[in-house]
Amino acid sequence: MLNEKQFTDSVYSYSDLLFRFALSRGLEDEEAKDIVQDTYLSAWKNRMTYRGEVSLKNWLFLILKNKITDHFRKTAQRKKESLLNIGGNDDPYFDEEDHWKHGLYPEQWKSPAEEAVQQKEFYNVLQNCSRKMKQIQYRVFLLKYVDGMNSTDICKQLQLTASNYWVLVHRAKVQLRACIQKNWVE
Amino acid sequence: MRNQITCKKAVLYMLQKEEQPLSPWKRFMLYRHLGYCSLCRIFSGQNKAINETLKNKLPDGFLSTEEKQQIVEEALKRPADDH
Repeated sequence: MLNEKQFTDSVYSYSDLLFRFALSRGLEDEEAKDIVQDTYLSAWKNRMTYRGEVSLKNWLFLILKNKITDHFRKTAQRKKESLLNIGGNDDPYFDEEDHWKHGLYPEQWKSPAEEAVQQKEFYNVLQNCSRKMKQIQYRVFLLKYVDGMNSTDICKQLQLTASNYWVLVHRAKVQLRACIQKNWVE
Repeated sequence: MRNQITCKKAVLYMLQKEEQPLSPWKRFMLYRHLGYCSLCRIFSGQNKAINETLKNKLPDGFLSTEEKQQIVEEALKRPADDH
C-alpha cells in the first residue's frame, strides 16, 4: 500500500528518470510527458496493489514499460505506411556503384579530448544529430545503441523484418556520422 | 563469388559485426576492403567512437517543478480503485 507522502516523493524522485527512459524509447517530448503522467495516475489509482515486493522505483518502471509497449502496439498500424519508403536504393551517401559518394566522403575528425567538457560537447552534437532522424529510424537507433537491445527483440517490438531493420540501422548510422562531421568543429 | 565488396556493403558488415561475429567469408571480405579503402577505415573508427559515447546513456531531459506538481495534483484528486 502506498501513502500520499510516498507517492508525492516518488514523483519528485523518479519522474525525470521515467521521462528520460520514455525518450530513450523514441517517444517525443509531449508523448513522453503524457506517458509519465499516465504512469503515476495508474500507480496512485492502483496503490492498494503495491505490496513492496519490488522497490517503488521498479514498480513505477514496470507500469511505464507496459504503457510504452501498449503505445507502440496502438501506433504500429499507422507506422506501417512509413515503412513502405524503406526499400529501394535511394541512399544519398553512396553512388550508383555503392561506393562513398564524392563530396560526402567520411573525413577524419579530431577525437574529443578526455576532459569532461569536450566529451559533453561531443555528446550534445551527437544527440542533436540523432534527433534529426525520422521517427522509426530514431526508434530503432535508440533501442539498439542506447538500450543495447538485440535485433530480434527490436524487430519483434517494432514489427519489422530483418531486412527493414538493417536498412534502418545502416541509414541511421551513415546519416548520423555525416551530421556529426558537419557539426563537430572542435 | 565476387572478389570484393562495395563500401555500402562494408558498412553493413561493420554494423552486423556489432551484434554478433561475422561469418568467415564476410569477415575476410570486410577486412580486405578496409585494407584498401581509407574512407571506410575512417568510418569504422568514427562508428566505434559513436557507439562508445552512446552506450547506456539516456537522452537528457527533465520535468519542471510545475510539471511534477501537476502530476501529483492530477493523481491525488482521483479516487482509488476498489481491490
